[in-house]
Amino acid sequence: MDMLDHVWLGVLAVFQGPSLIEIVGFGIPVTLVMVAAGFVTGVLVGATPGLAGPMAMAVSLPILISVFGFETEALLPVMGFLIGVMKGATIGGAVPAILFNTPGTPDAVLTTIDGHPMTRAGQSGKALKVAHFASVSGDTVSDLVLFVCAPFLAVLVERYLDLPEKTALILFSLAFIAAVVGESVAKGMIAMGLGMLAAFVGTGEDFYPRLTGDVSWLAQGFSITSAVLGVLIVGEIFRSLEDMMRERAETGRIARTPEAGDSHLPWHERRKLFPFIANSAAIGTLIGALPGIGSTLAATIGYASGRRMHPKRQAIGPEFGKGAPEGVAATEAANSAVSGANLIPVLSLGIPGNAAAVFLILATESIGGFNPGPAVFRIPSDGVNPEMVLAFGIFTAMTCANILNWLIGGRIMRAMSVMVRIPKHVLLPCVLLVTLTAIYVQETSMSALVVTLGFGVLGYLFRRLEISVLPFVIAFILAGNLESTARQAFSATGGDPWFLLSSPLALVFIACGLGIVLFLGHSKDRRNQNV
Amino acid sequence: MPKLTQDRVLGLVVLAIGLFITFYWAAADSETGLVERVRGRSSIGDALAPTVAGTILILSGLWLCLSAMGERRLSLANLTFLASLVCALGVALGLMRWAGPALAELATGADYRPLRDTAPWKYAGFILGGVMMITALIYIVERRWHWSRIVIAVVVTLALALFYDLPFEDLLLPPNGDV
Repeated sequence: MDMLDHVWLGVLAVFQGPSLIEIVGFGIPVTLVMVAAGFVTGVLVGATPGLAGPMAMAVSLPILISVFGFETEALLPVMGFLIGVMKGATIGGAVPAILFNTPGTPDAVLTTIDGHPMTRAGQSGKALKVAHFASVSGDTVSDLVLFVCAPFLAVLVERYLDLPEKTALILFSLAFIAAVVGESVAKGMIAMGLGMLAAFVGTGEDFYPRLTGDVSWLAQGFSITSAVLGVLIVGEIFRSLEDMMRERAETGRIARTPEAGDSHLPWHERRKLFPFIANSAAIGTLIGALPGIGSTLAATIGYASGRRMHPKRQAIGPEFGKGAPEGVAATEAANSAVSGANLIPVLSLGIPGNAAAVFLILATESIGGFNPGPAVFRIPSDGVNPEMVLAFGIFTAMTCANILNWLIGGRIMRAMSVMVRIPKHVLLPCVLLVTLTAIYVQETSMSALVVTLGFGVLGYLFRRLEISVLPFVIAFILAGNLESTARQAFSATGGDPWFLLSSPLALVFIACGLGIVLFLGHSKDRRNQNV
Repeated sequence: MPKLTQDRVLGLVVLAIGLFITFYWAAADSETGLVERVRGRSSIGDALAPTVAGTILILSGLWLCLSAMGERRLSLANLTFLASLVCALGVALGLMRWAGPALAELATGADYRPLRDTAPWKYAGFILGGVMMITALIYIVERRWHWSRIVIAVVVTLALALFYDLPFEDLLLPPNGDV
């Protein structure tokens, strides 16, 4: 069977899968229902200040596994829900930024620059429509690039990369993430080293669990759920609570501006937004394809680039920074374009590039039957590659989420604007309890909760010391893979200690990793000293 | 002499951890060394990966010491907040773990284990601990108790208990899985 047959089987896996409900005699496939449910949940979560897509993914994963089980058939509905959340949260994040000048995520800060002035001018409806139109356009472009690039990249990896090269590629990815994320490369490397160290506790090949100091509950190592959720979600909740405690004296009630101005977004205005959206979508897709860089940089570059384009074109509204719809479009298209492209390294290399991708990997690890990486797109000499069918099923679910987003995303987004009224300091403790409960039902051990809170404290300290948590999380996830690939490569080369330098391609990866660490380290250190 | 900034202290701490792992802990707390030779074949031992992680910490700690900025990031106020948070969460988790068994013992004189799948005992620890967790964290931010916050905490915790317990027979609320 060739790749096109697998594409068709993937589409059928979604549309001919088990039905959840029947409408006028037609069964609605469970994956489609889960994509829709995830999408609505995602918009709801994104529209709630203080919540983000990864939080909803973290909380829902154990529930989804309880409902659908650990069989491979569970993968498409579970991934469909998580993908829906990812896409919904991306557009939902613009709601509090535009309406109340309270960005829920760092990249939404740029949406406030023009989005909130539009609200103050009585054009909140129009600002939300611009944000939705730009966001869904950027997301669609990014998904199309993913569908084309991920299989192509995976085939290249499978054809040209042997075990030493794969080991070098993982090392390069870790070095790249440590170097590009955050203000200091040294701190990125500290996070990476600690993430690897935490992953190595209790694991290994020998009977004795290493690095446990004979502590029995450490023998199984730190659970991936506790470590990832602790550092990513609990640490963020701790920091937010403290920030709110300090700002309590300054914060007051947020006044609402009544809708007074023009809220329509006619076709001729959408056409004028196209160049800004196309430019930002290209920037977001390019940045998203590189692991670890994230949507904030994409939004920043997209906005700056749009600002430069603005004076040369016929504008819809005022200049950038004073309520320009083009400013909202440039930011939203760029940060939304990151989400699809971020899955390129996940599906083709098995390397997660952002927090949402981490939860997709967690889902595949929990359920089994699908191991993201180059082998997913290997065309078998005979028969079907079930992993490739699942990958194209995931692409189909993403396409369905996009269609849903185009059709009803804007309406759901505007309806969810009520969520911004929930006080964040009341919501976050509830989110913490939900997160801990979700971990308990998966791990059924109070010590898992203590470990999660311990990693939460670590995540809080990282944030206060301006150490990015992403290198820690990604190193924790990739460390086991790195060690096993290195062991196999070492054995396969007959115990050659220089196996990483024996092939030109591995040498290129190692040199690139070192080069980017040294180059970015030097330039970031100089910039920090100047500041 | 270079100024001892907060980043330099962090760099020194990381350096010390890295040295400890690389030159002592990795080898002392692993069954096999860096490289093992079994029946004429060489293979990577369990100590190698932690040694690599330790070496990364040594290099990055040294780098941070040399390039550290003078900004103060972590204050005593941050640590006080963290301590109050850890205390509140410790009390909440303690209630979650022990309130159910203690109440069951007081009310029935029986051991908790046979009762852990019976209402109201199976909810007692989770609800008391959960309400404590939510109200304590809100109190830390607001610095005042308000009955409306307690009502929110009770409603959320109760809803969460019912959400997990009623539809999913195989899911256990804390602490019923490990008592």
